[in-house]
Amino acid sequence: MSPARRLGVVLTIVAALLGIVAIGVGPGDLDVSKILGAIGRGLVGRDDPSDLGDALVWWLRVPRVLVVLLVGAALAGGGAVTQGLFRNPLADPSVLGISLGAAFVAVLGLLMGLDRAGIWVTPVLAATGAALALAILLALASRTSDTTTLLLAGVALGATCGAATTCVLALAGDRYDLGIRVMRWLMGSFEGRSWGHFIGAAIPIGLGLVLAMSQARDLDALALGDDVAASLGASPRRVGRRAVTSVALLVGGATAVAGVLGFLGLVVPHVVRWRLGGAHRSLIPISALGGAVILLAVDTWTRVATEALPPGVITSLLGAPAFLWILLAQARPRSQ
Amino acid sequence: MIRVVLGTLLFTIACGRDAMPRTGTARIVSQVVFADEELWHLGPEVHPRVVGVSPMADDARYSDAVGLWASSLARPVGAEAIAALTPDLVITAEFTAAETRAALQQIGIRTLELAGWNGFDDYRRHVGEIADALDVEAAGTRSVAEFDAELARLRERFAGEPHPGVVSWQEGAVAGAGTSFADAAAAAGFVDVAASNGIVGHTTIGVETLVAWDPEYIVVSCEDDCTAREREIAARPGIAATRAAKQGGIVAIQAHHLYSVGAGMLEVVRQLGARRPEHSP
Amino acid sequence: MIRVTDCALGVPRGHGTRWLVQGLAVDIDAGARVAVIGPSGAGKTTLLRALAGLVAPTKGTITLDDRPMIDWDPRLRARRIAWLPQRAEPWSDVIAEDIVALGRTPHLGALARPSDADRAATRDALARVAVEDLATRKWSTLSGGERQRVMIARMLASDARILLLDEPTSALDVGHAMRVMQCCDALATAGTAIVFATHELELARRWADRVICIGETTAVGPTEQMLVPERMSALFGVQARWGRSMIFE
Repeated sequence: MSPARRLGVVLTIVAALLGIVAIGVGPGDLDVSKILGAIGRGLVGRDDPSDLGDALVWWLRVPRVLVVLLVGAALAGGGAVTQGLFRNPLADPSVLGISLGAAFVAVLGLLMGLDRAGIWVTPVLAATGAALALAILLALASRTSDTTTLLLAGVALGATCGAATTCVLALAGDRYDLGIRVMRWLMGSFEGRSWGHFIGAAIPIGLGLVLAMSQARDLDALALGDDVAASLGASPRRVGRRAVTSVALLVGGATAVAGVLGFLGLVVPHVVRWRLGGAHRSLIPISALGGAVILLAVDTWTRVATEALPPGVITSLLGAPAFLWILLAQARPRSQ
Repeated sequence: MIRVVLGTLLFTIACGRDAMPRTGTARIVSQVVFADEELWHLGPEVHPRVVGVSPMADDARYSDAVGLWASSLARPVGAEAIAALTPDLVITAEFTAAETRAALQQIGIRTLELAGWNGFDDYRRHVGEIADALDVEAAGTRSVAEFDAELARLRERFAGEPHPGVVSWQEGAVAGAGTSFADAAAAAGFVDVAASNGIVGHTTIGVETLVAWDPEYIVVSCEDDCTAREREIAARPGIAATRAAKQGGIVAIQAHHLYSVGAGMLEVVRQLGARRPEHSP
Repeated sequence: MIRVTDCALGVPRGHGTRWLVQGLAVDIDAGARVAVIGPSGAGKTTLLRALAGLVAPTKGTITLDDRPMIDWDPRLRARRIAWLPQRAEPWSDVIAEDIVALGRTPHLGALARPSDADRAATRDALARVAVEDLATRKWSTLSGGERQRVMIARMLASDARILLLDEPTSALDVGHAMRVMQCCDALATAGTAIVFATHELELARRWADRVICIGETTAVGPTEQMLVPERMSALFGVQARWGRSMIFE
């Protein structure tokens, strides 16, 4: 069994075990039989949303675990594609400005009080923002096959959206309740995520992963530069368009349903590439699995231990020193 | 003769104390919504001395003082604008912008900083502090007495079993023991479930915890959309399984009452109490 | 194979064009051994890139199997033509075998899952350039010569029938240079077309049937007619004459 496949199997098992633990822990004093009963009923569609046990397990915990796995997979998978596209191990999917575009439109909605209409409003607005950011990037990508230009365009777009968001917050400075709502959303949250969120996220993230995998060969070909890639039959412009679209679907879907979560898209693919090599055929799915496992571990821990700390804070707090440690480990002199 | 002289002396001193306000309270600026409301309640003798109110005084989302103060009255923002009104006293709070408070101190303008907003006792204390600073103790005492009288009336109205459980839940933020909400809930005959679960002050909980508590009533804030808001919250996954959602116990109260730390807290008592089936009109 | 007709390659300079290649007409058929020589910056790399289909000629046509190069589907074209650039570096520290395996890209499906044939071709390419022992070494641990051989192996792994090599022996010692050119020669005997750009006139004299000279003017012809002192003097701006040199076998 190849190292990649071995790691994939291990990560899948860990994800399943973590999922079981996550569904089993939490408030409510539910014993195993109640939990299994709720899951069983839910699977056959006979659950009772007005029963407390069913609600806690089937309407809150199970969908939350699935959403967390999806979001972790999306961010890490998107990171693998971004690093391959821009040939930069320090690239993060947020470098394209997608998550910041999503955040800007979501914050606008919060400012206008649109989120009061229902819990689906902010995710839809965030997804719209991501789609707009993608449209702008594609328009730029069609004009140039130079990935440097694309990267700069993404950075500029992200900076613009970030500045606009700050402006919105400054203008609404006296509305402290808005400030709190915005900060909470910007720091990421899986609170109250249910089946509607799961389905809403699964579609773009699923599409994004499929599209990303379809570019595996061409992303590999980019390893030696645009010219060599072209001589190998890969069109850098076409890869650029499709890779950007897959990242937008992945990051847009994740941000829409969970807010802004940092570092996963940077650290996970970086480590996977370091240990397993850069073949995207295995890099993308293994990164996705790794991101899913890590985010589920983080979310389960914050849910049980602290209840209030947003997952985005944890991923940054852990991610930054982890990244430094990885860089130092890689810089250690190798013997010939 | 000595009696006359002493008497005149005492009389003059007494007159002087009433006729001349204590140095520094002829021009008052408020930077706190609570003070905007209370300065009005203190009566007509205080009104002409107010030369500026807080910018949020007219914001219906936060203020019960909407429409009370003349639109020609200044709503200064920042130390410069405040100083331009040459106030003798500026009423601030610990959440007033730190730069503004520091600048006022540097300029040498006298400030009264109100701190601590944890229930009815703090309300009474703050009214006293303001009345003291303005030298209208009698008006302050009267204002508190009115509050207490109405509170007692409401307590009596809503007395009696049962005492259902209630949680104030604002997208995760709950109010536990030692908060104005806890006092208001108790006055309306409720038990603050967050407080019973050991929560003190304001904190954030997960929605799972709220559902596990299964309270009979959940209070949320609303603006113009209170009925729609109650429906929306009651339909949320998880919350839909609580007794509050199933038995019509989701209570949406307008934000400016719910977040009030002034006399508006009594409105919370009124609205909460009225939702108990045995007390509904 | 490749047919070049009245081809001109120019680059914009100021308000005009600087012509690198003018009026080039050459057929590159199976088994061709063509060298491209000229001073630095003359346009050798540009010509090779045009033959690889990476740039379109400014004037004239370049066809592959009688179809214009630009009309070809890039992947199908990549299965016919392999291009070795002068310099190319992977951006992450991959192992040598992965670089060589990239040569199979035109034959892979979208998921880039290598078949047994792909793996065999990769191993074979590693052997032909004598870099099997470097297969699991990371790029950063390889010397310049080792890297160049790995890149040549990548080109060979593609099973393309037209090989375009830009300075294939620039970093190689005499022994390895011999091995590489012998390998290419064997392929040419078996029907592969080889076109290589080089600074080393001796390499061109030894291994090429025809030479394309790029400089002030463009000329193409059999090696013994092109590599004469008068032409070389004009091309490089130095005095040239016949002498005696060491032969390597």
